[in-house]
Amino acid sequence: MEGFVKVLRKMFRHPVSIAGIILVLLFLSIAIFAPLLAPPAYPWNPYMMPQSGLSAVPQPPSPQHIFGTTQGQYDIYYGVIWGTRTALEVGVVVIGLALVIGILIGTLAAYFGGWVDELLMRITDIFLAFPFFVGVIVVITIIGPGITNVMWALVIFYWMTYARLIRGSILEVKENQYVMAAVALGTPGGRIITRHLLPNSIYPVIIQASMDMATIPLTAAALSFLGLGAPVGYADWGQLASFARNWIITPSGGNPFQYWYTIFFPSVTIVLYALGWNLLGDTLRDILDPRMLI
Amino acid sequence: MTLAEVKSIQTTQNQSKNDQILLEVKNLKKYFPIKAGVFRSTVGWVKAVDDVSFYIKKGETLGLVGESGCGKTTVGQTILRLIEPTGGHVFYNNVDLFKLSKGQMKKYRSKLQMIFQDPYSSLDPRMRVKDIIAEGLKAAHIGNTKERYEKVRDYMQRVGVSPTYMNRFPHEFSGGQRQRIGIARALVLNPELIVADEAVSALDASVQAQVLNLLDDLQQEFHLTYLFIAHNLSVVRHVSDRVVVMYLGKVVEIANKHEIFSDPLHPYTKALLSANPIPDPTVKRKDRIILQGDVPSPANPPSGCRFHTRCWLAQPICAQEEPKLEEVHPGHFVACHFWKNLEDQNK
Amino acid sequence: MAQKLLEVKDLHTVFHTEDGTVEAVSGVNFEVYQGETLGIVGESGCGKSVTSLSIMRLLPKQTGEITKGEIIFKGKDILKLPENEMRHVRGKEIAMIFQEPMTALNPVYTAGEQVAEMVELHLGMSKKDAYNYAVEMFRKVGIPMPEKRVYNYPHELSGGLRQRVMIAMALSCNPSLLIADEPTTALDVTIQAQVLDLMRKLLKEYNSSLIMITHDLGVVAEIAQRVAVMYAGQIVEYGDVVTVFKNPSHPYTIGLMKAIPRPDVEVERLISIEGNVPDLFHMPKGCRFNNRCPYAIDKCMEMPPLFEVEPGHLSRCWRYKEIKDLLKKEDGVDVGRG
Ligand SMILES: Nc1ncnc2c1ncn2[C@@H]1O[C@H](COP(=O)(O)OP(=O)(O)OP(=O)(O)O)[C@@H](O)[C@H]1O
Ligand SMILES: Nc1ncnc2c1ncn2[C@@H]1O[C@H](COP(=O)(O)OP(=O)(O)OP(=O)(O)O)[C@@H](O)[C@H]1O
Ligand code: SF4
Ligand code: SF4
Ligand SMILES: [Mg+2]
Ligand SMILES: [Mg+2]
Repeated sequence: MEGFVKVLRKMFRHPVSIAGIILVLLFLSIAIFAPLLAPPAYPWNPYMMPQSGLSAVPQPPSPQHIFGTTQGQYDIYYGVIWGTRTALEVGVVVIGLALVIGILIGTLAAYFGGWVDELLMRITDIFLAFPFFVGVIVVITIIGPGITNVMWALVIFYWMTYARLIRGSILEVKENQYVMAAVALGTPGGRIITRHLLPNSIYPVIIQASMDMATIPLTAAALSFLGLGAPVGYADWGQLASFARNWIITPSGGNPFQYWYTIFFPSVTIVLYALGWNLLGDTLRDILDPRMLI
Repeated sequence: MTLAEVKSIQTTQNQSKNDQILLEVKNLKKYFPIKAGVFRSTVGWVKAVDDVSFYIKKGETLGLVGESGCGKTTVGQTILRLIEPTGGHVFYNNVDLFKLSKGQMKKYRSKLQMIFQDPYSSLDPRMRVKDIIAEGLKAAHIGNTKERYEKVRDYMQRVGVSPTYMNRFPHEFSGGQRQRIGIARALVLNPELIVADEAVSALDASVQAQVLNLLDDLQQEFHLTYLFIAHNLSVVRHVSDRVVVMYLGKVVEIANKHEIFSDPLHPYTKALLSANPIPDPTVKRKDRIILQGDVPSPANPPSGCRFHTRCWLAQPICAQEEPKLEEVHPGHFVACHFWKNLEDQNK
Repeated sequence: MAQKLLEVKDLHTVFHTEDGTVEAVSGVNFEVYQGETLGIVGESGCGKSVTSLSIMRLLPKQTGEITKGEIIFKGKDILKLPENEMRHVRGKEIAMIFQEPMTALNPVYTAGEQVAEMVELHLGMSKKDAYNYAVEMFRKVGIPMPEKRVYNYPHELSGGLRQRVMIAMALSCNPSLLIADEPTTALDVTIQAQVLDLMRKLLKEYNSSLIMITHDLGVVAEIAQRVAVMYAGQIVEYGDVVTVFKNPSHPYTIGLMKAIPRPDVEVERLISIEGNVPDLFHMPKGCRFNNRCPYAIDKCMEMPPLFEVEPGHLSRCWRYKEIKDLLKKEDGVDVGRG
């Protein structure tokens, strides 16, 4: 606990870290308070964006739709707010599961070494042999589109990064004599892993995970953009971007940026979101250095 | 048990002190693979410990000295099975430790303890000192948290680190303080045998004296046995009953300390003793034997006597025939073809 | 008289810890002349390593801080240098051999790579030359089979070999000042003799200076010209080696000398100084040694300054004049040997 307070104190020493933390906190609160910020139109399925017409032409910001509407009259503001929830949900679920699988496999491989290591790492290599995006798309084509299936497909092809990272890290930590000292004291294997190996090797993984909180939801958004993710009308930044793609430059001539709002609000949101997690990752990298922590 | 009974047990123990062998090491070997190339294939072996035999009697302190890299730490760690041996036997109270399964070995863990050479890498940087010292107690399910910390406090006091520091992390201590934390960690388990690997080399003279006195007190009190690995010969001389001298993975001489220090029969022992620095700036040692030549590598040891590349008494036969470790006087073992020459020189 | 290379003036170094701020070094003064070796000895935890880290400006960034003092190296206060200039001083001008070889070496690079990198950086050698140079340095410090050992990772080396790698790395750029923090504790005495010999030779060759931090009074006697004895963050005795060893004038120095097991005589029990070093939060008032000093008097409740026992020989003890007589009264104890 004291350690945690220290980490916080260090975080707040640099303005850049503060910016990262504020951004991440901002998105977290948007996700939490989404029902207040943008009351759902269909309470039984709040993720569906309210549609205020069927016109194919986007409408500029107005008191009813402060960020304007997309083609098909979906409210951009609503999409941005509830899309935050989608993004965080995707991130937490996918990265959480990938972490569990990756840490388990990487730790076992590094701790036992020998054939266990050989076997687990070969399996990891097999998964790594698929190009990430191709693999994910193939799996989605097999199990069908939809936000849940997208998450599964991402987990299946993402845990390897963590497995490798934690394995390398543990192999390094294992060389320290305190691990041998623990054996000499009769400490059981499980405790050696949880008390000595993981605490000293988990940080690179946490940093990586924080960076991935920026990219994984964007990958999911990209899949939605391709039509493989969320169904039409689902509050998701990928959807918003996908709706905007025909309106970035006015299709019919005249003022080329007449429909700026269709792409402006979603992309600013996405950029800020990615920036926030990246800054947080950097901050963690700085402060989790074992010599500086504690 | 009444006090008289305890006393009588102690006296019988003291009587048997001279004959009861606690630990016997027989033909111990440890080879490390040398890996090279992209596939990290094994291209050779570092013969870190090559056919080493000696014994330790109950309640005695056996000093182990020798060149850096000659395999002292490896001997200590294989005896405790912290690294797996390549060959040989270690009998502890007549049980061959190398034949035990990992599970069976657990029973012996708290009895056989080690003080590690490197006080930096042997303490987990993310654990508090109290948890580091209590780790063995916890593993052996001794006491509850409160009792364990009570013991931790007691032993911190004994090794001379203020218990007010128990909540700190290792990097907040100096080298010597860390070494004492490592000592406390080993002592708190009440072991029977302690392998002390350079246990006092990071300590300044007065703390060193304190710790050596403490080790001595504990030996008196609990009849502890030490395998004491050290470079500082004055310290070895002070603590040991007998001394083993190693060179390049082999034992070259074993004798009780008086004989080793006054009448060394192996040329390497002699060179070692002559290099011992004397804490007096006005004394310039003239008898110092500076060994010539490179330290050979344990991956590719010289033929015959391993010391022949640097020995000033070497004869042609030394390069061909390996001298056996022979008992030349009662309890005095030496591995040299020409130990007699040295004995004459000493006189 | 040789030129002053380094002058440490009134150095104060503190650590900001969880429980508050502690002063690990309190007002240390010393100087090092060109070509000279200064030995620093003292109780473990008395601030020797922190002093050297302060000179290198390598204190832990978040917690360590130099609050006062000057460190004049070649006429310039290096505490005032910007970090990028300090980087050029480190390694090239002032090199350090660390007390902990394992943490100071990077576990993921081979020993050779680490030496070669230093040389590439500071001497501007090509990669290939740097590698050959590293092999040469390994040979110089007595590492067997240097051509092979450069490919070893630190954990594949014994404690002694690691320490020699550190020494090779520090000496590789011919620094004008070498700070060696316990460089030989991990070495056996024959290698230690070799390494000390090597250091002496290289120091002479390049007219470099050495600060030798060690616990081994034998090593100090062998290599140093002057010695500083530290206790609880302060220098308590300072002077040339022969004088301090023959005529120790501070009770702590005397205790230290009594405590070493002597190579010539055997004793039943070693004489250690009673009690423990005061912890940094609870420094005694006045003389910091007064809670353990057998000669303490009422006056010792005040902090003694450094008195000049004789020219160039300083002692931080109120009773520096009487100490000799006091010692004589204790029968059978002969301290300054000879
Ligand atoms: N894990 C390992 N892999 C390869 N070689 C090793 C390994 N551990 C030790 N060695 C080698 O085995 C030999 C003996 O090492 P060991 O640490 O036992 O020496 P030591 O006598 O304790 O030396 P020191 O006094 O310097 O600590 C050395 O040559 C060392 O390089
Ligand atoms: N990072 C740190 N945080 C808090 N206190 C520290 C830190 N580093 C050192 N100290 C404290 O500063 C004091 C001086 O430490 P230093 O390492 O200089 O001792 P030393 O004289 O080198 O001892 P040794 O001979 O045992 O290495 C010690 O009491 C130590 O506990
Ligand atoms: S056997 Fe020969 S080479 Fe070996 S120590 Fe004896 S004299 Fe020297
Ligand atoms: S000043 Fe007093 S307490 Fe301090 S060392 Fe001298 S006699 Fe001892
Ligand atoms: Mg060793
Ligand atoms: Mg130190």
